[in-house]
Amino acid sequence: MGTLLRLIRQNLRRNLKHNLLSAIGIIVGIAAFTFFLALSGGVRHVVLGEIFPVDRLEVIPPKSTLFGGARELNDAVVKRLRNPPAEVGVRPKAVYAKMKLAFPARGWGGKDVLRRSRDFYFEISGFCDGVDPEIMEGDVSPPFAFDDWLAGHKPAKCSKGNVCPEGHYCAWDLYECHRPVPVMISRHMIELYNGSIAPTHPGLPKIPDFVTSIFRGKTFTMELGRSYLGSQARQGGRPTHRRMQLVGISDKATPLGITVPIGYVKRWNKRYAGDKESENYSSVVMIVKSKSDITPLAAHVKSMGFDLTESEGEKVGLFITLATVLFTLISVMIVLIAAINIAHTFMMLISERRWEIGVLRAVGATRRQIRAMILGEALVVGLTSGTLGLLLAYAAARACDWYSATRIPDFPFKPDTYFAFSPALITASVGFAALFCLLGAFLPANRAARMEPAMALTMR
Amino acid sequence: MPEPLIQFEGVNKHYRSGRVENHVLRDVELSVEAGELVAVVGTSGSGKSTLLNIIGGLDREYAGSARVSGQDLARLSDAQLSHFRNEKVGFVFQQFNLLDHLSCAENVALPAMFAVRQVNDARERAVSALSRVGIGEKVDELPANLSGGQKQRVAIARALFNRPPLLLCDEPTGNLDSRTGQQIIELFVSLNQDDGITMVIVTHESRVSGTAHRVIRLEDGRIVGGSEGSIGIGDPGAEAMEG
Repeated sequence: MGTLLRLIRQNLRRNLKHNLLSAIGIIVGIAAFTFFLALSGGVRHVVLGEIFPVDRLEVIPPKSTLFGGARELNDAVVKRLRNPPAEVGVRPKAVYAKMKLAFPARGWGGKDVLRRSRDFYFEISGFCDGVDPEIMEGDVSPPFAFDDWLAGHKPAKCSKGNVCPEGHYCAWDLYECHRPVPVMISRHMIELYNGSIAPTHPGLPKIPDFVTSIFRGKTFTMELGRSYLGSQARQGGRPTHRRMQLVGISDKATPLGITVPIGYVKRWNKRYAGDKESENYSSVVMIVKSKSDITPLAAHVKSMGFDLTESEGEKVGLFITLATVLFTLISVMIVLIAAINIAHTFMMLISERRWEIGVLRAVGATRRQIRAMILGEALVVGLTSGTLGLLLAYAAARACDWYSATRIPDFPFKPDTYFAFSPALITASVGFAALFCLLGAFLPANRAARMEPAMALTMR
Repeated sequence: MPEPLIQFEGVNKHYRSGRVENHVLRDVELSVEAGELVAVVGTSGSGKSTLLNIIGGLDREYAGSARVSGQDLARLSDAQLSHFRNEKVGFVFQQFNLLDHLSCAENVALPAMFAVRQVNDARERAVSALSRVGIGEKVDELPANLSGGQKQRVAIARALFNRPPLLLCDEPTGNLDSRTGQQIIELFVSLNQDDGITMVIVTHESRVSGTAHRVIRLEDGRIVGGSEGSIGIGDPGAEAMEG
């Protein structure tokens, strides 16, 4: 084996120019193949992993039912969604209900975070969801927690002169000691601010990813029952104020707005919007174990008479897949043409080396050894070309990332890299190059192996 | 009585070139004992090289029975025939047939690359074989830097690498000047007499055939005569053998 490898190395060195020329096609083809697949993987990661996650279904009440009767998303429905019947074949990884704030609300704050002289004022009604705190486990780190502090707990009274326990404040309009309401936001909010708001408002700083932690622990005020649009809650009495505290960033938080523990929303809705609004959920999110589980679970949801929100992720994913297939096909065509070139080169080399093959046969080389020698040369050309193609693709990818980072203005979800070079892709790239070279050299190798030594020796 | 090293019975070889049928060997009956030095003479196209190729297992498209070293060559698989060529015979060609990109030692050790059993001391054996043929100092030289005689010595060293019992030489002095050719002939005689290697040498030259124990004459693919020779370098009587 070692001696055969030495012979292969010597042959390759001897035919370096031919081999380099034939390898160029493979290098270019594999570079294109790897570049497009890495680009597809990277873009898919950003788009489907962060902007439009495709690992979940969102169940909503039907827009209309046959006889006009409402179908409500309540705890019983959540239980059925969590435990689908056996014939569905799959179970969701997690199911959590969401409840929207159903009355006017507004908020203000942020001047200390963004170093402004005045607070920001923002509308909250329509931009606030409540979710089960359990679902946020792992997204909040100590000392903060995403808990419903009032669940099963009656707050202590406070008044002038009374001091609330540490971590509490005195809600002056209720005369009660409260902990701030924990709030989660999604990365969409940061991206939206960085990509759209900060660039158009001189003086507003951008928030790099690594400093998003500065938000944690910051508070702002929320007024329940009144909005900036001039509306006021029809029931519940006078508006009240709550101190809100940002405790973390999560992709399970509502993309546009704030997310709080669902217990708060239930209590607030009950007071300002009525019992019905505190019992029915606005939607239920089902997180799936794998993408293939989406179809049977979606069918199950439909069979229960509920609707699903349209998944932009599916559409974008389909587009990315189609684009990837197109570019991959082009790359494969390049590699195929290169393989034909390899076949031609090896055919020519073998034609030139007929006499030499005759000599090798005369000293004892078997057909199999001759075939192994030629295919070994092709394999080395393939592995080398594949590696060079891979490096070329990587260099091109880094160049694109550098261009994007330095020359393209920021936009929401602008990634640090558009490419994902997974171990599988790296293996596939080098493997494909080797495979195509072997395919190209297969016929020439067989032809060389079939040569009769006596005839081959006359070909000098 | 031991079986002859080479035993041909009714060997025929023909091939078609366009519409012309060429009968290269016709009913060849041949027997060569171990230790013999046999010269095969004849005009161009008489079938000398074809006969040598069949003996060496390089050509298996023939009819009849060809047994060498006790093996019926027609019955051997490709791997067995390759193994036979690797261990049982050594070839020396008129054109030397050295691989230009390999050093002398690498050329000589070439059979080790294809040996069934791993050869761990290939270089040492190659150096030894080169020393045996008188060019031990050219171990790492490339063939391009050698004279014709030196190249042929490297080719002989390669043929001897696996210490085969049979050496097949096709016009070994054809590309050499007379003095160098004479040295090569002396080397063959030495290998035959000292090492007991059986040799079949295809040649046009009386100098070569004159050294043989036996001369076989081929005409139009038939053995038309054979004569006993006598080993003796430069034997004037050998001149009569020239066809």
